Amino acid sequence: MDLGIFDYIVSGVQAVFLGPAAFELFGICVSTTVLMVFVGFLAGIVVGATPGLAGPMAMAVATPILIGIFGVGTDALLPVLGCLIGIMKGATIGGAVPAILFNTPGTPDALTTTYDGFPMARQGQAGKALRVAHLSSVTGDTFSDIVLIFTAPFLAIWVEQYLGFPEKAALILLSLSFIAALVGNNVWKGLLAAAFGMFIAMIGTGSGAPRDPFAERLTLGWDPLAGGLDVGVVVIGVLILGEVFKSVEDLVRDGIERRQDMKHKTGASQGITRSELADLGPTVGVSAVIGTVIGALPGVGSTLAATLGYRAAGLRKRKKGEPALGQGNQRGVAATEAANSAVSGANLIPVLTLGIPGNAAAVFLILAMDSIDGFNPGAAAMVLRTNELNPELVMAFGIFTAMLLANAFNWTIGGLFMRRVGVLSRVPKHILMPIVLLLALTATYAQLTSMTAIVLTCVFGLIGYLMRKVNMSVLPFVIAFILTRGENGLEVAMRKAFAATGSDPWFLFSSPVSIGFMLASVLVIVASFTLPKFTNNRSPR
Amino acid sequence: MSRWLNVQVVVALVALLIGVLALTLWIPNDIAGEAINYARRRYSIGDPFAPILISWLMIVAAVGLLLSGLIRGYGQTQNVKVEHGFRRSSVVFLVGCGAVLAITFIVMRYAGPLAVDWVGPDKSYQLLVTTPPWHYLGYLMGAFVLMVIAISAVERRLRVRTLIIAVSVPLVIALAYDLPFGLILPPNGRADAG
Repeated sequence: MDLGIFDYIVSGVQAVFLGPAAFELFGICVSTTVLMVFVGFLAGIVVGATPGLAGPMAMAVATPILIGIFGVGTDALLPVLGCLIGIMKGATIGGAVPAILFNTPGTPDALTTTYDGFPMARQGQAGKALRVAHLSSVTGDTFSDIVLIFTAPFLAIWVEQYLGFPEKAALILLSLSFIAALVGNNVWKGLLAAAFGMFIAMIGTGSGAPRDPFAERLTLGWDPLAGGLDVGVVVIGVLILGEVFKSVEDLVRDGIERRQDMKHKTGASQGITRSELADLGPTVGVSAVIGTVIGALPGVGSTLAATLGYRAAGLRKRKKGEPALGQGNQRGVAATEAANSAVSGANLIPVLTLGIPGNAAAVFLILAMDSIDGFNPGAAAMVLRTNELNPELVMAFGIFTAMLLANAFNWTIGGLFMRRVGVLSRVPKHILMPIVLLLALTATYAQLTSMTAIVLTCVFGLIGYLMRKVNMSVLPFVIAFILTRGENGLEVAMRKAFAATGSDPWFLFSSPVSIGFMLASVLVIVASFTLPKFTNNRSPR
Repeated sequence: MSRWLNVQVVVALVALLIGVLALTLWIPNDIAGEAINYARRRYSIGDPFAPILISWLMIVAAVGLLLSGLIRGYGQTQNVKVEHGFRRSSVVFLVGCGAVLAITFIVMRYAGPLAVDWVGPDKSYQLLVTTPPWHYLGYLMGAFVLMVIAISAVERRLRVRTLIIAVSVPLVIALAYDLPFGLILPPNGRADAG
């Protein structure tokens, strides 16, 4: 057998379009994966358009449900990931709707969309602002996906060639330093959060004591902890329930915020002219590049990308008669939306090549990949084997196809749908939060079928709440937990590296690459004491 | 709060305590073996190694946070009101939240079996955990309690609209989970659910 890259691409596309059929439409079978990408995309727009909800929240609720429905067999991988990718992409464009119509960002990364989107709406150009937001968002997203598709396989080859166990352990440490240092407002708190997350990952089964490989550790003698903490329990608890508890407390304390009934002028032209399109092009291009670069870095999220994109748009000289940024300039909307959407594709570069999640949305993609058979995120999955089929590479191209399919939905019906969901922005947050709580707990139960799991999820919700109360970012905790546990985690990598280097205590400094990663880790931490912090801590992202 | 005892300092002290307790009590008593094992003329990393390393990281980060908190406190000229962190209302909220969740789970767990005992058919609940309406009862009643209390606490009154939402939303969720997908609703799963 002599397999080429083209064979893998075709197999990946076929896996998406010719997989198990969900139903027949005009005599054509519609595959379950196509249906799930569509459903996820629409659900994502709805979630994004609803202030108080965010893509990761919907992904958290959806992941256990989808696994409950489709199971953990290889056939489940593309429908589940397709739906989650759809939600991720839909939520990004949905966030612009309330930002433009009601001056309330649906997602934190749409904050700068309000600066110009809402003034445009007040000037009677709500439809135009929504169109600009959609067009910029989908352009940034598509650009980012193309970069992912063309860079991930090459990066994976590099990773596979140059990274042994010591280098992989050093790289995980670098990622943890990056996330601990750059997310949140205090480096020490970031490191503490990461240390807590790593420690929690240690609870359960020890992984390699010579005489008793299944020895329990740190369980306090409590049987439910013997197999380790379920990732879903920890992630949903800290990221989602913690946010719900904090939001409900704020609402109980401050009461319900009365949203003003915004009456917008009507009558102005809502379309985008060709000259406007040409004018927006460079802004969208610059923002798409910014979002893609930011998205490829672990821990630095779409809020920073949106802010930088917006600032870059401000550097360009204004034309005569053009309003200033912040006063209804459509370039402000375009810059923000292109940048925050460009994060979503590039996010998957560290996920697919290294198995390292860059942000909360990527955490849920990794969670799904971990739970379902058939795809272990990391360089090995992307290796092009020519003598025998690498099923994981087929799945990788299936994932790329699902992303492009979500983009196709976005180009064709995304704009139309997002202009219809403005009404959701009016659903009160104090009603949404208990529903999210109920959905998250029910989803956890549906997967784990245990009341103990629900109670543990609430315990981690309490931890997430406490971290938010003391202004400690939860993302380093969650990502450190994920990166430390399991067969691809830091602990196993360190054990293997130690063994592979003949029990060299300096195994993390055993090659120029690993020394480079370790030096970079120290540099990132040291530099972060002097750099400004980026992430909005109120967000679960 | 004193200018020295800001939130940062309190967090650091708590983290320091956790790190020290982990190193001195938890790890030695709850993990078998040595940090580095020697067997068959080879050294290998043992189960306590990573937890010990992480505990030290926790302690170092806690000391760093403590020092930066103290320096920040020193830089402040007067006692300041903390922006984040706990007030008395946070403790009240936490206790209330815990109580609501406890009531919710107790209702979810026991409403079904009790209903079967009182008005149900002459069978045990265990035989009816997949039979409507019995397997919905605990979930619907527990969810009703949760939603009514959470929404009313924010609105500071009980409205008919709240009752309608608290009945209809859990019902829709239950039907959406159960009818098309057959997913198991609380508390009808594994043995620990009863």
